Amino acid sequence: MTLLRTLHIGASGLHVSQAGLQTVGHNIANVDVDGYSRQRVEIESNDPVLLAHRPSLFGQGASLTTVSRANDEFLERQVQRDQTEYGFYEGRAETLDAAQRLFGGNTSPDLGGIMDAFFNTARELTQEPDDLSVRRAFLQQAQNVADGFNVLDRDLRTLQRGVDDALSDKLNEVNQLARTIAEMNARIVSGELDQRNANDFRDAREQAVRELSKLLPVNALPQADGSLSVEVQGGHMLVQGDQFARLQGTPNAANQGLLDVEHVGLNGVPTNVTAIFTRGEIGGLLDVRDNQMGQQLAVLDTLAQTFANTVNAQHAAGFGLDGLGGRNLFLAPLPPPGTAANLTVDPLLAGNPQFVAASQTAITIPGDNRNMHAIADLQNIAQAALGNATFNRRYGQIVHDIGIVAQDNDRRLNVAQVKSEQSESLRASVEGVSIDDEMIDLTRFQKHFEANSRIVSTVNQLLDSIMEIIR
Amino acid sequence: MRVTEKTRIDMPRSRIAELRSRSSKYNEQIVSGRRVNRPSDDPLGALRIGMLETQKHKVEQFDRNMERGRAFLYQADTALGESLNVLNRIKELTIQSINASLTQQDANDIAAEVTVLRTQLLTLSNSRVGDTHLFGGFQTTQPAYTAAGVFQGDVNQLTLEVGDQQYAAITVQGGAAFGDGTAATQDVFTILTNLTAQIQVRNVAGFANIEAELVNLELVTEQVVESRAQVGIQMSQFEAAFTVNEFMQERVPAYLAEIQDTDIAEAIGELQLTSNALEATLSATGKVLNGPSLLDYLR
Repeated sequence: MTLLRTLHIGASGLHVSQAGLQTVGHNIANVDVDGYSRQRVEIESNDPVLLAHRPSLFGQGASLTTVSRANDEFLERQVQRDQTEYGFYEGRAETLDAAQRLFGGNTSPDLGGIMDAFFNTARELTQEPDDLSVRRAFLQQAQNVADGFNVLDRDLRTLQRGVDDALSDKLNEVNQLARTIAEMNARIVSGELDQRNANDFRDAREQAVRELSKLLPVNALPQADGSLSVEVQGGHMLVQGDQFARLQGTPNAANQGLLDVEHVGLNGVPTNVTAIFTRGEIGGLLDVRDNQMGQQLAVLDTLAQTFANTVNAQHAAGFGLDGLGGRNLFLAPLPPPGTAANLTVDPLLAGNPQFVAASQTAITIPGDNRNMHAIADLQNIAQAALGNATFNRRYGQIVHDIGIVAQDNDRRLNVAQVKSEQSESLRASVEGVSIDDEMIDLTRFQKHFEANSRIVSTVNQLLDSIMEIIR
Repeated sequence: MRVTEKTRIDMPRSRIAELRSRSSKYNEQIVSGRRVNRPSDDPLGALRIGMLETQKHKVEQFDRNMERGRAFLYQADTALGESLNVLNRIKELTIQSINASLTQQDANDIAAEVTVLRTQLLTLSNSRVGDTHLFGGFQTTQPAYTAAGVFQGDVNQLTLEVGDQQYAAITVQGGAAFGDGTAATQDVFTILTNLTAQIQVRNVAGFANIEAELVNLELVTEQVVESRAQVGIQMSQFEAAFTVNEFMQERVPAYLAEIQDTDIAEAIGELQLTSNALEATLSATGKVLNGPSLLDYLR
């Protein structure tokens, strides 16, 4: 009887070392899987038994209790936090870079250069106020300024729409991740009913939470049944057990038809939650779209409005070659938003260069260039509506401001990237797979297996010997 | 710290990416020749560049304005100088005509020459630069004087901006030189018309009339001389402005270059440093990735 018992003990050892080898294999196979946590077998001795006529308890081999996974809740949270921060700056980076190139590109003349050309053509016109071709050139430059405003405004708004496209994508990602987490919740809850660990499902769920953290700040709250509740920081539920909520984008007419973010809860009622996204990639996208670019567009509108009104006032004070005054150079600008987008030279003037008001009085035309001097001089005059800056300086300030924001964002992005790489590598050092470690375990379990096999074969020989005796 | 496969790969990867992006930044600076390629490279610099560009554009325009102004003033100077020659010739002829021994034919010849000279003077007073009449004030599209010698200009002077909000006159008042038909000035064409008539009449008892016109001619000459002096003053104003502008034309691009242009030596140095770091990182990474592993020793 004892020999057979020993055979069983050998078998239990073989079983354990096989499980160990299997886990090593699983670890190595998953070495490159994002979010995979290294697993290890937990082994314990079997309860000893008291045998008849023997003085003490006898061991009964070993068995596998569980396969655990290396996991550090604290590091996990750290990774999530750093991802949220990194996501914010990353969400802003691309658009800020594209926007600043619109202002400070090296290739085409910027709006500042176009305004310079306009005022210089006014000065050119002071040379020959009676010359129709110079007057035409002046009108063309005025239209160039208007076009410059139109184009810049249009390009900025195109970028804003591009941000919206990215935002839609990100919201879809959030929804897919929420669905994944809910699905994993369901599998983990049913898989762990009998105290077994659903390690790989937990890895997949953690990875989903990590990806979600990059998009928006989340709180992940582990529940007693093994499921994970996830909410957007600020209290909107995303996942609860195997149920999940949805985020969706809805055009907001009050914001140029740009998307608002709505949270659709389990009851199916949408709530506008745009304001709570101040962090994460979605927060970054909303910030760059509404705050950064929104502000630039507003300043651009003010600049266009002040430019048109100031030039118009001076132009209306002068007289055309026909002796009539009171005409605008630009069509009266629309109120913002839409000032910069719709600025144009008054069509009355566009075809009639003789109406350009170069003269100061009706009786001194055609050689009077004094009103044109006054128009050219507007370039040097600080405008109260522009915070006491000239047109060129105000434009320069826009360039400066976007440069500062983009520069600051670059710097913070780098810092956030380093931070998140560090926390990720800390996490990986605890949770990740090291080939060397696995090789050691592989060798260990191999020897273990060989030794146990030896037990089995030895017992086998002994049994054979006994059989010899009987025969 | 425990080093896992992921750390072994991720750390050099991000380091290499960072070095590559830094080296591409210096490369861009060298290739474009510009230190500021987008506002975020130097926001304050970008603002300054914008303002200096504006200044540069203005200075270029001032330069063109001055070229134009100079052309006007030279033309005015030439016309007025030529007019003085003509007036002197007329004065000579007038003095010749005050001579009782001249025949009527001689007198007629003199009168005819004065008439020709009058036409010359009219042409000179209607001088133009391009299509712009010089002496008519703001009435630039029509001759300053009609064929009958009536002034149809005004007293305004055309000005151009030659420095920031500095305006210099590029014309002189034609009326002040040749007469504008008011009592304040002597009108040269009226005088010449009268003079021609007086010379032809040859009233010996009345040489006094010709002498009176001679006095008037002297006054006109003074007017022209004064106008020419005025042109000289305006020219010297121009030269002063020109010197300032010349200086600005050198300095503004120099300032601009200081802010905007790449310090090539520095950029190349940085690029070299970055390349060295990159090379070191790559070689170290190669060693780590190909480095010893337990795998090599398990048979």
